[in-house]
Parts: sequence; structure tokens; C-alpha cells
Amino acid sequence: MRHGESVWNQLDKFTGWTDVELSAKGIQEAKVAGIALLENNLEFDLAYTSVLNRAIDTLHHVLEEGHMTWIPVIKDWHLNERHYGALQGKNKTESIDEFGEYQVKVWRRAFAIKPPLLSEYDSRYPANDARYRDVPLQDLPIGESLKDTLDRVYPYWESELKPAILSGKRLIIAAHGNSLRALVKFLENISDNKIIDIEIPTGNPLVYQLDEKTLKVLKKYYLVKKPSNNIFDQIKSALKLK
Amino acid sequence: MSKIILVRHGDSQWDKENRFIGWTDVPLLEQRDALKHIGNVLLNNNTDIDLVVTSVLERSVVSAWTIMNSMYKSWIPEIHDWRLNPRHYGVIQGLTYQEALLKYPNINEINASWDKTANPILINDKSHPKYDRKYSNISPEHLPSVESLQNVYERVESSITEILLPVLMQNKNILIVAHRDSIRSILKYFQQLSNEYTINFNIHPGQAIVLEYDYNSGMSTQSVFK
Repeated sequence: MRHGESVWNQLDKFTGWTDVELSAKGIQEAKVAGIALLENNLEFDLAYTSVLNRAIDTLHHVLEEGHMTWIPVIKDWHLNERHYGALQGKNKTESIDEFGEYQVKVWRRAFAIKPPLLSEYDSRYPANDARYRDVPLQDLPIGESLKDTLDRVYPYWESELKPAILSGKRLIIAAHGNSLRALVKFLENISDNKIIDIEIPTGNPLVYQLDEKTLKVLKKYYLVKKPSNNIFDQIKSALKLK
Repeated sequence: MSKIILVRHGDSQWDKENRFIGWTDVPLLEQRDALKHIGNVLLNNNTDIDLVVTSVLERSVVSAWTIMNSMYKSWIPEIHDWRLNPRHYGVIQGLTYQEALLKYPNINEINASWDKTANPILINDKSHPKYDRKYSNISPEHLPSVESLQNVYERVESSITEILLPVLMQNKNILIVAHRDSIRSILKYFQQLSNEYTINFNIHPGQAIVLEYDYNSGMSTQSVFK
């Protein structure tokens, strides 16, 4: 599940690893998703999320509404959003003024082109943040292409998520547009040049039912059938009310 | 030196109604100001927290999330351990204090004792923990039908040695958001409290008890953040 709207979505800023909070709408989106899980009797054994507040908070609201708060929660930086380097904190229009429309489009849409990198003297440098203190310095990104993000999620998928699924566990993963793109790519064997066109909507759990042994996708569906901007419609639809 | 910060969960509807809750998983009420206050106090004191430990009951887990969120530190690793659950109150779970007193006149005696229990729930009672998915990894003979404070202490002690001590050994700080009797048990362990003192120790909502603990000497000093 992709986290709900954050306060920076509204400002149209490059967020990346910046730790912003969910907006009021984002919190509502998460709660609706939690109610939908409960109403559809979906149960989980393990929860995964990034170390960024907007994903963790989304997970927490989902689990609370779904009354599944007791399941183990694992927070890992490998599931973080794509690191947008020195673009982080910049408004998208500002960036276009500074670097030109074509360049910004390339950074956003190309598969393997990195954004301008952060300097290690920048206050935004991840090693300055306590949550990354146990991560080896050479593993911490200072600006990632989509390819870099996929390459960083892949070992985590292989070493942690896949074994958990193979052991029969049902996982709920609350993360970000690009780290989830990575998981969708691995699950569905999507090619490098197609993955950029895959957009995962916010706040709507995407459910994969997998073959226990081969992890082949048996079924894939979005839980909230008719996403709506009207929160009351969403709650009604989650509760299957008329 | 490391710190152990002990906080009691926020109120559920049953706390308001003065009911024996025990292992019943009653949700936390929306009014969470006391918890946000604790988060702010910890933040203002620059308290570094390396690990958060809760019970497996929703009021404890969600209380911890509320505190972490108000500290802007939702990323801290968290462990939910059933051994930090409150005391299992057996047949009096769900009753108000008044109702319990009418049905079981010895209730005060049980509450004020170290090793007495209420009557157990039946093993085939559908509220028995063995039927609850959250305890499915625990072998049924460890799951209580009722507990004395001593029983609580024994399971909390096993959680301390298995989970807390290895972390404290590395001079790290732990926030524990749990229940009255599991917190009493932790205090007894680290402060070598007598049974009598443990029974009577009370922890109030909106309060954080801070133990400064020296792993090598095993000594700790206690203070309270309000």
C-alpha cells in the first residue's frame, strides 16, 4: 500500500527521503484502507514499512482501524522512497525554472539518470540522521535514479520479503511510489522500460494473492473498489453501505 | 548508562468505566492528550530512544505509536511482546469493580496479594487466549486462564532477560509502554522492590518513570517525568 497524501504533496515538492507528515486527507485515506481490510476479513502475520513517517503513520492507522496492531512491525530504510538528491525540498515549478523543463522531465521519467547529488556537508545528508546510524555509509544514497531505487529494494526483497512469503506469512507493506514500483516489478516481472509507466495510487491497498511455492501471481486487485475524493463515499464503500 | 522509560497506556472505555480489563483487547479512546504530553516531555528532554517495547494489546501498542509520533520518531524499532501484557483477571475480566465486589467479596484481598488469583476462566471459554490468533505462536500451556501478580512477574522477568537486557548491555535506551502490573514487575526487577512495595506501587497516566540503569553494577536510580 502506498502512503496517503503528505503535506508536501499539496505543495508539489520533491519529497524523497525528507520526513514529512501525512496531511489530514492522507490520514483519512489510511483509515479508510484499514476499515476496508477489516470488512474484507484480510488478515496479516507481519507488517513492513520504511523508516519515513508518512509510510509508518499510514501503516499505524491501517492496523489500528483493522484491529491488527499486535502483529510485528518491521521498519527498514530499504523500503524508503527514491532519494531525490539535491532536488529534495524544491518545488517542481522552482526546479523547472532552475534546470529547465526538459532536464526535470528527464530526472523524473528516465530509468537510470540520477538527480543532482547531495553533498555530504548538506544538512539533508542521510548520515546526519539518527535513523540511519546503523547503515554502512557506502550504502546510504545521496541521489538515486529509479534504477538505483530498484537495485536497493531488490536485495531486501530477496533476503527478507520473499523468504517471509515462502514461509507462509501474509504481509502488509506500507511504502512509497517508487519502492512499491520495485516490488510490483519483481512480482510481475515487468521490464525496465515499462516500469516507469506503472503508477500505484495512494491509500488503496493493492492485494496480491501468490502461489505459496512459486510466488506466481494468482490474483491481483485493488481493495477500495471505487476510490473517491469524497471521504464519506469512501467510508460507505469500505463498509459496503448503500 | 542506559535508560528505561516506563509509561502506562492511555485510557480505554473500560478504564473510564472502572472495569477489570486484563487481557481483553479494548481499543484506546481518541482522547490521547496525556500520551502526546509524554511525547513532548521526552522530546524536550532530548531523550534518545533506541527501542520501543509494548504488550500485544491494542491500547498499549497504539499508546506507544502516539508517543513516538509526537516525538517525530515513528521510525524507532518496536517489539510487541505478550509477556508485557497486564495481569489476566480470570472470571472478573469485564466486570466493574462494584460488580466484581458483589460477586466475589474477596476481590480486595486478591488485589492486595502477591500470589492469590481470582477464579480462572474455563479452558474452553471462547475468550481464552489460546483461541486468539495473536497468541498462536505461543504454546498453550504458557497461556494463562488467570494470574496472580507473581505469575505476571515471572513472565515479565523472562521478557527482561531475553529482550531488554541485551539492549541495555549496549548502553541503549528503551521506552516501554505497558500495563500497571507489567510495569510494577519491571520496577521490582530493576529496583529490587519487595513484594509488598510492588503491590502498592502506582503509575499514573501522563507520567513517565525513568530508570537510569548501569548494566555493570545492576544499579538503577528512579525519577519521574511529568
